[in-house]
Amino acid sequence: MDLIQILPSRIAALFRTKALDADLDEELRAHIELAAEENRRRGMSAQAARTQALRDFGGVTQTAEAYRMQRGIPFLEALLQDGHYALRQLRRNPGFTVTVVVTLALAIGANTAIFSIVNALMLKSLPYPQPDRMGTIYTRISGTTASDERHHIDGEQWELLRDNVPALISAITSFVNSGVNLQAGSRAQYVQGMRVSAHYFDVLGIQPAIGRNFTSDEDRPHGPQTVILSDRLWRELFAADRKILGQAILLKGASYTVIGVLPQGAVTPSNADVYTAI
Amino acid sequence: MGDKSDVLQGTLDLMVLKTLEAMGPLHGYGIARRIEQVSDNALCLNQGTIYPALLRLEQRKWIKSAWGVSESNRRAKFYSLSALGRKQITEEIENWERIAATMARFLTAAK
Repeated sequence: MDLIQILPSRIAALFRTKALDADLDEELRAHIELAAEENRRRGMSAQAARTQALRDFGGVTQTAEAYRMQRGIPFLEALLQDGHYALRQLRRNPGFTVTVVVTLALAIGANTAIFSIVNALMLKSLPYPQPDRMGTIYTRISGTTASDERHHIDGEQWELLRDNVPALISAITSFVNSGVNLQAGSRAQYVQGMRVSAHYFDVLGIQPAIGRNFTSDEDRPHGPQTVILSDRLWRELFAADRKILGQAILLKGASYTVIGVLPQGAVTPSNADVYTAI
Repeated sequence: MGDKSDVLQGTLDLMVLKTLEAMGPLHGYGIARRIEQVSDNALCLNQGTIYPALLRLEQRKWIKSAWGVSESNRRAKFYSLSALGRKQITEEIENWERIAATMARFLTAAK
C-alpha cells in the first residue's frame, strides 16, 4: 500500500538523479558543518569538532546509499547500470558484437519467414464463413499404376453429385480464369472471366450486394446467359451505376444480362471480374 | 505488523513528526539533535539514519521541505509538518500504543 503511494515520486526521481544527488550532498555537508559548529562552541578544537561530528553522523556513504534506495526504484536502477556496463563491454569488443548481431539477425529472419508461410498456409483460416465446413473434392485413379495424384472431377460426375447428394452444396468452376473481351455500350475492356455453377457463391458464403445470385436455371445447358460482376469492375467500368442491372453486355461477342454485383471486398479464389454461368 | 526494521522505522517517523510539531520548522541536524536530547541520549542512533526517514515522510506528503538559512547563516534544508502530517500524528500514536500494548500482553503472558 505504502509502496504504491510513494511510487510516483520514486519514478520521478529516476529522471533527476544528478540534481537530487547534488541536493543530498549539500544537505549532508550542511549537517556535518552544523554539528561541527556546535562541537566547537562546546570547546572542542576545529579538528576534533569535525571528527566528532562525523562519528555522530555514522557513515555518510551508508546514509547516502540508504537514502537512494528509498528515493528511486533500486531494482530498475541496478538494471540500468548493468545495461550500461553491457553496452560498454560490447563497444570494446566490436568483432564479437558484429558476430552476435549477424547471427541473431539471420536466426530471427529465418524464423519470421518460416512462420509467415506456415501462418498463411495452415494457421489462418480461409476468408469465408465457416471455413471448416468447406472442402474440395477430387477423384483418385487406382489401378495398375495406382498413385495419390488428385484429379479434377468431370462434369458428369459433378452433375451426379449435385443432384444426388443434397446435403452437399457443391459448385464447380472453370479451371482457370479466361480473358474475355467485354463490351458495354461504348466501352470495351479485356477482363478476367470465370464460369461458375449456380451455387458457387453459396459455397463461399457471398451474396451479391445488388441483384441476385445464379439460380439452378442458369446451370442447364443453353440456359439464360447471365453474368455477375465483381465490385471492382462495377466501380471502375460502370461507375457504380445501379441501372446496370438487367442491362446486357457483350462478352466474347455474346450478349449476357447483368443480374448482380458482388459486395465490396468479397474475395474469391480466382478474383475474377465477371462470373458467368457454367 | 511489519518486521523489526518496519517497527524501528515507524517509531523514528513518529519521533520526527512529534519533534516538528513541537519545534516548528527545523533542519535535519536540528531534528537529530532534538531527538537525542529528548530521549535523554538513551537513543544513540546514528544521526544519518534520519535522512531516509525524512525522505520517506516527504514522499508520503506528511512533511514539506524548503531550503533556508540557519542561525549561523548556513544554507540548509528545513522541514515542516504538512496539514496531512499533523493529522497523521494521532493515527501514528494510536498505532504505537497498540503495538506497545500487544508486546506488553505477549511478554506478561509468556511469564
